[in-house]
Amino acid sequence: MAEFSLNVFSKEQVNALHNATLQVLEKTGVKVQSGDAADMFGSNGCTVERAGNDYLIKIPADVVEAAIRSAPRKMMLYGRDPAKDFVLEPGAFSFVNGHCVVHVVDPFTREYRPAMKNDCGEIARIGDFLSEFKVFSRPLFPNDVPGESIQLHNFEAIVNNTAKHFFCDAGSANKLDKMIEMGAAVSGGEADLMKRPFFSVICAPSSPLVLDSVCADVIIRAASRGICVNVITMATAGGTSPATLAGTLVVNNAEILAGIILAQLVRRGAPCIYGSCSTMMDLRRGMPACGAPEGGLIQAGAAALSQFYEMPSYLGPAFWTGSKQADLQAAYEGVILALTVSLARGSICWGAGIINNLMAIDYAKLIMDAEAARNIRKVLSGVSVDDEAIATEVIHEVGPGNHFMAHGHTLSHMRELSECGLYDWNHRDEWLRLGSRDLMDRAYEKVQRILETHRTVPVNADAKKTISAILSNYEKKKGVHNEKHERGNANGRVV
Amino acid sequence: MDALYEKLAVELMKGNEQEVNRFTKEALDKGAEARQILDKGLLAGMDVVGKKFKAGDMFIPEVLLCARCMHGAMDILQPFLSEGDAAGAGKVVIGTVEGDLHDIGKNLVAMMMQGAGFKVVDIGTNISPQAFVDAVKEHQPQLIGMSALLTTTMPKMEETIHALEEAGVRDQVKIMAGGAPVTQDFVEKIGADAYGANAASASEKAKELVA
Repeated sequence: MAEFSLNVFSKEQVNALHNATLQVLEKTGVKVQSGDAADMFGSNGCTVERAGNDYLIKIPADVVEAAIRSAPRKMMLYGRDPAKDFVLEPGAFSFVNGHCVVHVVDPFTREYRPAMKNDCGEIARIGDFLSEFKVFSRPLFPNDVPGESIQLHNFEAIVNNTAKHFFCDAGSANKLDKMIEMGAAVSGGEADLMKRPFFSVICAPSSPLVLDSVCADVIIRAASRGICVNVITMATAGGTSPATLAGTLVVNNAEILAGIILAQLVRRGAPCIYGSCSTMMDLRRGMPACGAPEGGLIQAGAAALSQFYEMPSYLGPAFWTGSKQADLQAAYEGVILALTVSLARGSICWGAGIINNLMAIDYAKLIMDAEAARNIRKVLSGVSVDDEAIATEVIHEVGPGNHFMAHGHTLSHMRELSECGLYDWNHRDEWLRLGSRDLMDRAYEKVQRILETHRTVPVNADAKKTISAILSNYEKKKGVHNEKHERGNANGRVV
Repeated sequence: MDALYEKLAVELMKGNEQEVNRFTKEALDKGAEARQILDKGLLAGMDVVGKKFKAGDMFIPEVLLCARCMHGAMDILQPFLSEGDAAGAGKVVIGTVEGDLHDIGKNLVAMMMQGAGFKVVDIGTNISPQAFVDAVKEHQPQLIGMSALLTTTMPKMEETIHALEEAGVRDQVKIMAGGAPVTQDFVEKIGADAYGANAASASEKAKELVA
């Protein structure tokens, strides 16, 4: 368990933000674009006003508080492989890859190009390999599959390439049902899947204060069927929320809670995660500034709120950057954000591999971020202070003017110290002799090696076939089936 | 009168609503033509605002404040403008394509275009190709703006263009496309007329298209 942390807020400040959120939920309300969700809120003590085709939901404080109480503080994120199970409880910590991108930087050609289904699988395989990621998240929207079935293609690519628990978006309640069917095929039946659900669903409210129909309907379906809901919101300070960070946190908090309340109204105790990736708007350019330090501060605040609610969190801009490539800007911006969010104790800190304002994942940066993640985890582990660690006896034995390298105490603790990993700690002559290569070169080499050698625990052949059949049946029914998609993605790299 | 137009432009650039309204009324009282006040005062001011914004010298909220001043003054001028003049630089129908609910970028473009003197009909988000066709028939714009944030909805832009072709209204309008994943190459590939990389360049391109 991590031992070093920082608090951005005092208890009074957290209370002030919570109270402001209660006021927004009760007075301003949340717009919901789903009749089912409106009914659910309406029959549980909320005020429902019709607003055109939408519903304005005003949620009284007691409904909010009841949902906060019933949302679980601990949950299992099961892996397809039980060895990869992750217990999400207070103090648990993991980094995870970035997601939602539409481009990648190719691991072999280093070309910036559209993301494909194959990339989704390849990145899942890398995520499966990297020990800093205890879970995995749907990394991208492939450009080579029909928009209608994109979520199912992602599910297929991910489940075949990682045995870790994964987060994915469903796109509709109906598609979530299809995913559950796919998952059941892997687990050996729906009952077995529900004993150890190995995926969770991501739902994104639209800032400010809207649960659109997809978001609301997927929350309802997931909560009723027993799939964990990760409500991730992205209020953007100065754009879709106040330019002041406290105001952004209030909007952010209200949106996340609205989603979690809906899940709890469907089923008390439904597993939910407090997710967020809010940052600021660059008001000179009209775009989110994904590398801005404000993102770190906002998420540190979100971490404080989730701890106040005793809910596990899944927080944004770790390793984010506005840089168009994995360069020094990317490293400076990304690490400041990752360190801030993790020191504030987000449970799962996401964003490794991101470049270009959340538009792309660079395969090599995924590896470099995992290296930084290892070092951050070291920082989080803090400094243990007990007799063995203080070691006055050892200091006395070695005495002034000697060294500790031959002492048994050093021998027994040296493996606790960091190693360089991909970073270069060599003498300069040695570095020259090895070809003066920079971190980027070594990262590409490593990512290529992982792709060539790492294989995850396979999904059995029958389940694979069933998944593929569910997918093509769905596409046929929707009239978007295209043989080319199947051929293009079955094997091999897309160039 | 030119000095007055200049003062009007300067106050507009400062976002000083009261002064803009005062000078607009003053110009009318002194017998200036509404169209001249619009062109030499308000639009001249907004032109500078657009340039400054593009150069990174202004924040969007400042630009929006200027645009609001412009609208306030337009309300005063409206009764004195002929129907053609009131249409300003032209009419734009703008919307986010089907399947996409993202609208911040689109809203920004709409506001920038309004600031540049366009009459903007914002038809919202999740707009089907047919709804774009219907809007073109109903509003008779010179321009259409399509926005998408998701790569999954980008193909809807091409479908929308096809729908406009099939409905026989493609040639009545110039088509612009934009949004985070949209590129110049993509816009050319689908046969749209212009690409706006951001809100400032979109409104600039729009002006070029109708010039």
